Order: sequence, then structure tokens, then C-alpha cells
Amino acid sequence: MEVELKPLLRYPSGKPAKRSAYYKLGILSVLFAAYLLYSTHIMFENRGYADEQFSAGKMVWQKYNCQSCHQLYGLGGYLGPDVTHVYKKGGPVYIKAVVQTGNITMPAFKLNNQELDDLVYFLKKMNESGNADPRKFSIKADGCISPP
Amino acid sequence: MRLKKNISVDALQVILALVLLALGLFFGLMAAHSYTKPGFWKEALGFVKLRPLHVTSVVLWIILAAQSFVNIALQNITGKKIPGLLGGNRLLLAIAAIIAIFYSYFSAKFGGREYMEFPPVFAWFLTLVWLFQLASMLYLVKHLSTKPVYIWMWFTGSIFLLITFAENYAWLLPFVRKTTITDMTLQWKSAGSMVGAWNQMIYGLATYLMTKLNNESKPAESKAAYAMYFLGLANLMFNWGHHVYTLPVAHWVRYLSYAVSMTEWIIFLRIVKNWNKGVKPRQDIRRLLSYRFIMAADVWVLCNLFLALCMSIPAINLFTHGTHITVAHSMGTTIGINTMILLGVCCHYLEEKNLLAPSKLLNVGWWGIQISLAIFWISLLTSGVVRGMWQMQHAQAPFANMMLSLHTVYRVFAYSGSLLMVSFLLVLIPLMIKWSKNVIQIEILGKKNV
Repeated sequence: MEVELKPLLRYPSGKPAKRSAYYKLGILSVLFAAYLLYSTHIMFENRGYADEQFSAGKMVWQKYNCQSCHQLYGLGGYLGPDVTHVYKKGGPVYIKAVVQTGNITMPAFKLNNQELDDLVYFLKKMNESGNADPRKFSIKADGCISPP
Repeated sequence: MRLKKNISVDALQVILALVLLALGLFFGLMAAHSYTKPGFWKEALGFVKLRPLHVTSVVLWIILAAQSFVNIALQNITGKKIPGLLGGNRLLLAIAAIIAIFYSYFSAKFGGREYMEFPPVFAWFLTLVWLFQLASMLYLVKHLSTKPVYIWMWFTGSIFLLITFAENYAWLLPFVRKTTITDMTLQWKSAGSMVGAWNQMIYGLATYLMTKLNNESKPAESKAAYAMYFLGLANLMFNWGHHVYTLPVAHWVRYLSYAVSMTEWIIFLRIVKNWNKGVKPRQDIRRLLSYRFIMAADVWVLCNLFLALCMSIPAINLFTHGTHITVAHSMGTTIGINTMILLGVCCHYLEEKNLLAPSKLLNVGWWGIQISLAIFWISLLTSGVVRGMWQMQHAQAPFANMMLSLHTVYRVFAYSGSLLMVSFLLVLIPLMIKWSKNVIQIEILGKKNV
């Protein structure tokens, strides 16, 4: 006696799905599950945990759109220099002076004292978070790189 | 039989998208002059406002145009219309978002992140636009065959756009915002994947267009087409790490994105192999502007994919990261690939209705775009190479000295950008005028739309 196997999947129109549709959905599901796992790991990894003042300084950085011209770890706009290690190179007084007076390319920003302190603290923490100087990386035989 | 006049929401959205492209070009040109004239309007307008104006205009052009063209294609395929409630509300929300975002930029009210510098509350408008878009596509899905790969690409692209857009705002969560590295990693993860998501929609449109031009559905249903689709999807999900090679991320994140990025050599070699086959197009389609834009996109895919593959090798990325080589890649792909494909589809819908024929003006515009884009791209690569060499020097000259040494290159960049804008306008203005004829559609009641 022959038994008709009912298809597990149907198209939205009601037609039974062919085997290839099962394969495609299977691959999609596996990829998506891996993606969700990966994304969750990245989000909860908690690399470089700082504090409330750091968060406030980041909001100042965003409020004045510093990223339009400057980079952190080489990511941002390219009209100005990378400022990941500006705290180490110039110090808090230098940062406050440049932000408040500007230069030929950079406008003068009117930040209040709290905003200036928060921004300086943000840049201090970014300086401590790692190395953004490409000269200090080492190149491996497989083409990958390794920070100092 | 009765006739009914309908306002085509998608045609209106196409015109809006074309206007955004024109604005994006204008703001980009103004921003380019910040390089040649330091301090150019820095207090009134300045790069701090011009860059987000330019980037947001261009991103919205891509997103809104892709939405409209996908909707038109789906409605043509199924013979069904998207309900006015879904389409109309989507367009109104998009207009509200654009007004709010532009107001915030002009009045220097920022608060967001790269590419979305506007205050986060306006992101709700864009989220709702995408939800209405997904609802429209799901409304039509019951009538769809899932054979062609472009259907899968449009749906996965739309879903991932929503996911990555939401992920882009993970920094609103305090536990993310308080981290130095995780926050930046997530930001560039979502930005990279978001680009992959809208690429899914656009390459789906390119595949759809090629099947229509060649009158052949097989290329969109073959195993090779699906293999490329899954390869692209895997890259969307896992290759974003090439943005953060120099961040102190885990080693395995670097290796995973390196390995996944290198799989795109398969796509590159496949394109070269197809070119070598030398398949000649039919005579009747060779003169069509839609075909010419798609063929131009093919060339730009080859150039930019090669550049991207080189940049995805960490050892080379160390040199190119933080330089204008990255800008050459992003502009080369946004203009050379995405915009070319979208304009190809834009022209095709007009050609189908005999509203667009080849003309001298369009021919001059097309050639102007290709030549000026090539000069523009090369000037960015040149400035990137000089900056890359500077940042690897043991004893670095001051940043300002390096920028001054590139003054001539920046002038070439700005002037080629001006020519690019003019060439685009030679094509965009006629397209806007012709699309306005599509806004009012006559529907024969009792018959399916085709």
C-alpha cells in the first residue's frame, strides 16, 4: 500500500514547496542562527568598560559631531587628524584650547566647563583603551596583524 | 469598463529619491571645497554640517529608490497594488524624516553617530518607513513565486536593513555606551552589515533588470545565482570585522572576517570569467540607457571589488585604514555601483513605457559621469596613498604639512567632483521630468495591472 507523504512546507499560495526550497530555508536558518549568536556575543563582550563620565564625554563628542572631521582608531571623517591618542600627545589643556579657539580649518566650539571636562575624560579613556598607531602593529606571515 | 486615476506613491518616491541624489551631489561638492579652501564657511555651514548633509542625502537616495523600484517590480510581477494606506503613510513618514533630519543638520543639532548624525528620536521615522515597506512586501508575498533569486534578495535585504538599523542604536543602551571598544565594534558591525543589506536589494534589482532586458529568467533561478546569493549573505553577516582590524578586538574576530572577506575572490573571478566569455548583448538593448548603466556598474564592481579585497587583507588594511583609500572605496561603490544600478532600473521603467529614448544630452551625461568618476576615484586613491605613507613614517611630519602637500590632488578631487555633479544633473533632470508623467496612473478597473 502506497502512503502519500504530506509536504512539511507550503508556499504562501498553498502550493507544496519543492525540495530546493527546503535546502534554501535550511541554509538561511543556519546562517541566521550563527549570525544571532555572533551578534549577541559581540554585544555582551563588554570590552573596555569605563564609567558614567566616559559616557557623558561620548555624548559631547556626538553632540558637536566631532566624528565628521576626526577619527578614533582611524574611523571617522578625514579632514582632521586621528585623535585616539591626543590626550597622551597634547594633554587636557591642549585639547581644551584647540576645541575653544579652533584653527584655520576647525571652527571654535562653545562648550561649557562640564562638557569640556567630560570630553577630555572621554579622550583620556580612549587613549588608554588600546593602540591606534599603525606603526606599532606587527604583520604575520598569514597576512593578519597583531597589536603591540 | 471604467477608468480610474491613481496617484502612484512609488513614482512620487522615485522623484523624491532623485532630488535627494541631486542634493547629495551638491552638498558633497561643497564639502569637497573644504579641502581646497580651508575654513570654507566653517562657522556658518562648514564640513561639520556638510558631511552629514551629503552622506544622509545619498544614503536616503539609495534606500528610498531601492524601496520604490522593488515595490514597482513586485507589483508588476504579481499584478497586485500595494494598498494606499501602506504606501501613502510610508511616503509621508519619509518626507517627515527628511525635513526633521535636514533641519537638525542645518541648525547643528546633532547627537547621533556616523552616517546617522541626527538626534536619535528621528530614527523612529525611518524605522516606521521600513516597517511599512516590509508590510507592503509581505502583503504581496502570497502571490509570489519564490523561484527567482531576486525575491529572496529583496526580502533578506529589507529584513537585515531593519535589524542592522536597530543595532546601530545599541549605543543608547547604557551598558554598551559605557564601553570603549565594544561600542565602537558594534557601531562598525552594524554600519558594515547595513551596507550589505541595501546591497542585497540593489543587486537583486540588477538581477531582475538583466532578466527583463535579456528576456530570460533562467539566470535568476540557477544554482550559481543562489550560490552567489548565499555567499553575499554570509559576507553581510560575518565580514564586517575588516572595519575594525586595528581595534583591540579578539583575534578570532579578525581571522573570521579575514577568512569570510576572502571568499569574495570567488565573485571577482566569476566576473572576470564571464567577461572573458565575451557574450555579446542583443543589438536592440545595447543603445538603451538602462543597459549602459548596468554595464558601467559591472566595470565599477570589478575595480571596487579588487580594491575592497586588497583592503580586506589586514596587512594592507594597516596601510589604508584611516586614509582616503577608504573614501575611494565607499564613494566608488556608492556612486559607481549602487547609483549606476539604481539609475539603470530607473531608466528601464521609463523605457518600458516608451517614455525614454537615447539622446545626445543623456549620452553626454553618461560619458561625463564615467570619466569624471574615474578621475575623482583616482584622486582619492592618490591622496590615500600619500596619507598612508605619512602615517607609517617613523618620524611623522605635522598633519597640516601632509595635508598641504596634497593641495593639488584635492583640487583635482574638487573639480572632478564638480564635473561629476554637472554630468549627473544632465541625466537626473530629464529623468525627474519623465517620472513626473508616471505620477498619475490610469487604471482600467476589472483588469490586472501589468
